[in-house]
Amino acid sequence: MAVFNQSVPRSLRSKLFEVNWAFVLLVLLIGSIGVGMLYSVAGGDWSPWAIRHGSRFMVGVVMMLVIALFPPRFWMGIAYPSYLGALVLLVGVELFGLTIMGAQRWIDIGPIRMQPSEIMKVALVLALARYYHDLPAEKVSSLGGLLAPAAMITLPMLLILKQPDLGTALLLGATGAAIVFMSGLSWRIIWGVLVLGSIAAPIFLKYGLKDYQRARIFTFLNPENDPLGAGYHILQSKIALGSGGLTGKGYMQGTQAQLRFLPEMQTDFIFTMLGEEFGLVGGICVLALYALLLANCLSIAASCKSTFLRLMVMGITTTFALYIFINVAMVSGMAPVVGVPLPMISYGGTVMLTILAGLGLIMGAHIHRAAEPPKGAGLLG
Amino acid sequence: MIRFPWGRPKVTTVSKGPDPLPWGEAAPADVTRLLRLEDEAASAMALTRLRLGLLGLGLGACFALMGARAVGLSLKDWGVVEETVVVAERAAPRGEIWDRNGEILADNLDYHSVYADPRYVWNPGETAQQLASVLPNIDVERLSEQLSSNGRFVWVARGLTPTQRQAIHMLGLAGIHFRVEPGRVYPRGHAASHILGYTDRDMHGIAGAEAAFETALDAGDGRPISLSIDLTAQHAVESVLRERMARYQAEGAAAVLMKVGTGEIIAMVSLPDFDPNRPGDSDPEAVFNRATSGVYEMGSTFKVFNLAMALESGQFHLDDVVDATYPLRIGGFSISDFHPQRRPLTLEEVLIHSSNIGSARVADAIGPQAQREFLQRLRLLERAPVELLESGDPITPERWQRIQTMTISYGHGISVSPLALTAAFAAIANGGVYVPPTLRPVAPGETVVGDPVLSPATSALVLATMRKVVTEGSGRQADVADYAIAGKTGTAERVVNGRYSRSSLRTSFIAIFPFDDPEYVLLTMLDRPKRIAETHGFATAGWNAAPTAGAIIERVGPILNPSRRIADPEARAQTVAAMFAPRAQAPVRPGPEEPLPGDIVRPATYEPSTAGTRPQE
Repeated sequence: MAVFNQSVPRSLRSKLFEVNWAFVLLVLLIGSIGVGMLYSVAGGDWSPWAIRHGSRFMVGVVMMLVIALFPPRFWMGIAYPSYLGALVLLVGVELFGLTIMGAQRWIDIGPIRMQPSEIMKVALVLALARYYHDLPAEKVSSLGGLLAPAAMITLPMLLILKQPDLGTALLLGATGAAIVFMSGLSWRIIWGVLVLGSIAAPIFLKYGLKDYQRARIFTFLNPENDPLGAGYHILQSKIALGSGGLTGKGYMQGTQAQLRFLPEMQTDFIFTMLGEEFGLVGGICVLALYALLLANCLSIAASCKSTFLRLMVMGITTTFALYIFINVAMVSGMAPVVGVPLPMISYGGTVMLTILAGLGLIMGAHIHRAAEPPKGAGLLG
Repeated sequence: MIRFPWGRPKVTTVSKGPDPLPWGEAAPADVTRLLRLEDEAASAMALTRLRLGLLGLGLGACFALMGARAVGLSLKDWGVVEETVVVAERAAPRGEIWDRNGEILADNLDYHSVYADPRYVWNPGETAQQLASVLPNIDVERLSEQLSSNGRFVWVARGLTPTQRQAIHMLGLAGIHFRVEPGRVYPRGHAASHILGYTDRDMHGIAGAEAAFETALDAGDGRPISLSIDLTAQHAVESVLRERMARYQAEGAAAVLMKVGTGEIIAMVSLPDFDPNRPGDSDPEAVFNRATSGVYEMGSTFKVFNLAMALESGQFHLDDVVDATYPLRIGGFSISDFHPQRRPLTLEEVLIHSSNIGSARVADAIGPQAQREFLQRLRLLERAPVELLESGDPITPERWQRIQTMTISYGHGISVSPLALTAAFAAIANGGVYVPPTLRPVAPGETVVGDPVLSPATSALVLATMRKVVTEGSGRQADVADYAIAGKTGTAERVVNGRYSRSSLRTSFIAIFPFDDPEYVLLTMLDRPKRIAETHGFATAGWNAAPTAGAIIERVGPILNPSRRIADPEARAQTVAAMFAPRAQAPVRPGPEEPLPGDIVRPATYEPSTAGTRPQE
């Protein structure tokens, strides 16, 4: 067990020494690509997106490093309160929320406008990790041990679904499921849920979705049938991705994107533009950067001694990976358009801050991988 | 070591126990406890490793899938950018319609429209203001109200120019979208309007060639289709006909110009016409195609069929004589001639002088059955087999007896469409082979399959006789030097208030040229031409339809360029006549009835109101 026999760094200096700089380098690389692409989307202009994205990103990276320095005990302590807070905010959105782009996702707190669903993404991971950290291993597959996490996952999911934001709700559900899976859930229950899910999914598709959500799912299957309608985004996106060829048309030369055939280029569809301007090589390079970062995260998870840190890292990693996968699948026509940004490259404030905060938690787990916080320390402990 | 299920309480691990200890005896309690802890930690680690591995595997698979997708998309050939723009901006366009020389008759034009999705509009007031800066005509207050609604779709403006569209686009307003709506355009305006027809708002043909060739035009490949018509000839026919219609103060007119041997319709005009770009604004009467939809009693032109039938039956020779001295009385009705010769006439003379009496006698000798079969072979008892959906069903007598046979011989008691009549004459001109009329061009060298309806010899004899109608008979005013026109006039009385009216006529002229090697058939028809000073108070076909045909041929002759020749009908007729075996001349057939001068009295069995000459829609 030599791998666990590492001491937990205590001083700031020793903590900084433990920072995984390869990890930071990867994050910086990806963020710079985002700034570059946003500069191109604006037609070679720092405003309105590139400059703000860049400054937010820098703030986010600093925040990531600060977060990484906090001891795991702190995160364990705020796990439940932050979850409850996020839940309250979600209800608040329901009651006082702003409506932007047809969806209620924002809430005003003084000068800050924020998306509670973003906070919930991190809070849910923390809360679940905390829950399983405290739960004795033999109770993971028991009824009581199942009901609590199930409630913790479905409650925010339903609130977000109601906003309506199918993409985030699914993301939350998948992340929660991943943590439950990692906690050591019995295979029998896993298979049972899978079977039940495959039965329930068609029913949900038929009755549980808004018309436009269903339309998105069904039209993405064959966008060519409806090039002017709902399939427009996907078709344009696929054309843009494909028209880049092997090496692309060159920076700021992408016609599909530059001529604005694509809506919301700066947010969800930015990968399309990358594919058009830098071609297959560019797209694969970005995917490789993400893959390296994720591999790094997984190895951090494997090195964590405590259940809390391990599950937290896995949960955040899953969320992060799902962002990438759903976004790329969406723009390349493999998944419906659900509105999930590409982490650190897409323009968008809260999403980037959430992601960098999450990466900060992972970095923190790396620094404190040898820590073994006590179990069952109480709700705020 | 226990591998699964992991969720099982670890108490059981003790009861099952680890592998037997090497020394083969029960271990002390503290050793067991140590082993159990070790086991638990190890199994937790194995669990973590396995599930972490699975997660990593899943993520890896996802990335492999993304990579494969990216490769797949970049390998797919999306064509040049211009093409992708087209693909994105519009669906496959409806095919254009061309004339036989590739002149565009129907084309598509994009109309840009802008609409709003209020759900995505940020600031309705500001959005409306901004839109008004490009589109000054919009009502800002009303639009901003609409944009504030909960709806999902609000038209902002339609029929924008590309410049306006671009200007709105550059405003960069959220929730403002564009739609390209293709529209059908007929750049030639009224030209060939009845042939082309028009489409509905969804670009589906609902009249004319647009409807007839809907499948080909809407195939999605955007390929144009060519029509048989020649735009230049079409225009010539149309302008002459329009001028003549005005001159003779006719209420309507129609003309069909068809190529002999292929059935191609070179020009087809129905007047008054309409603008297919705005079919809704036109008088329904104008949209009605008189040349194909209308069925009319065609009058004396039918005497040509009667002659052909007589010769074809073998019972008659061109030189046979029938008595036309007195009006023919049958069953209380009498049949008289318009230009009474009051003498026995040869069959040739019957046609030249357009004798009703002579025609009726000949038809009577041949009988209803043979007449019916003959007209059937000429496809006059069915709708003209053309592609157009607007092809009128003929009106034929319910009871086809002696009296009907006689009236049909001179073109009364049967109503056919001008196109069907033209096609039947084209068969006579084509050496007796019927070719269905068509609006599609026939490629040079293409074999056209037709039905033989009469012998080439009969065909030649009839043509020679028709030539004499033009040189000696009622068709003199249609004679145009060098084109060797053969023809026949037809004057029918229109039915007014259920009775035939002498003052309300429908005149027609069928022209075949050149008569000894026919290349074209032309039918002209005038509805209700007036008796005017220029025609010396006459309103019959010889005075209006025939000169109209002559004027048209004079005009289209240089366009169509048929073989020109000095007509020598005598020589031709004699050559052809020699093809018949010489035989004794039949005696004069005396009329069975008493001579009694008087008007033509129509048979009562023919009910004009049911076979009215009003357009049948």
